[in-house]
Amino acid sequence: MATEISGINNSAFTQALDQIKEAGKPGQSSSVAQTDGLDFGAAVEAHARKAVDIAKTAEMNNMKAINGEVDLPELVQSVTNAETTLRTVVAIRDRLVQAYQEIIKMPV
Amino acid sequence: MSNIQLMNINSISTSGMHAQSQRMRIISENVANADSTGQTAGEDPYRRGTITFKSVFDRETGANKVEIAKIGQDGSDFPQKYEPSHPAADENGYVRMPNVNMIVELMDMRQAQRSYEANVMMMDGTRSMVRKTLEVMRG
Repeated sequence: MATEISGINNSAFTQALDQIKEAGKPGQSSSVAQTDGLDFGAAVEAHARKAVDIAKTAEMNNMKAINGEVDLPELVQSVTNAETTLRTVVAIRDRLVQAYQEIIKMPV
Repeated sequence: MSNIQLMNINSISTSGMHAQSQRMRIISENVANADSTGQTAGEDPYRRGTITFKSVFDRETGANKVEIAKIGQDGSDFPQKYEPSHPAADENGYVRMPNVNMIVELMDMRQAQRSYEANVMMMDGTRSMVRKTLEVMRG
């Protein structure tokens, strides 16, 4: 069960983070102001790195728990952190995609 | 309630859970050894174990976590039981029994259980707070 959950975390994470990185890159969507896009992209990428670290810790603790090396509270702590981070990342991605789509809808 | 806050709260609750499970361990040792007398009249029986906690300031998170201060022993007198046939009976037929009171240990166990559950509820409550906050973004 633990590995299944972490497997879901991993694939959803990878996709979400990739999409966020794409949305945050400057020059990708010409309708976004260039200066804003530069800072925003860097900030988003920094946050994405942190999120990946959290997911990696959770994955490691999962494997250790299966081997019996890590205590139950630690495992619950890391899985809760990873789950919350995943939710945050997905919510941000959804908003970014929504904003992008609304901008695209604008008649030129 | 930021993500960092959530992780700090989680680590605080984890330290609480560790402390309470250590307490549970000492209690279960006491309960298991409630009848462990010495082998001879001169030898002491099992002495009840005690555990104390202390608050520790964790520098990197800035939080007050809990830690085991000391695992000690209860210094009270051993009760005496009249059993002349016991190998550890003295010349009057009295055997010194461990100073473990079963009722006290069971109440302590319930306390440890409730404290542990309270720590788990902290984790759960914080998690639902963060979720509710994220739902605002979804709309």
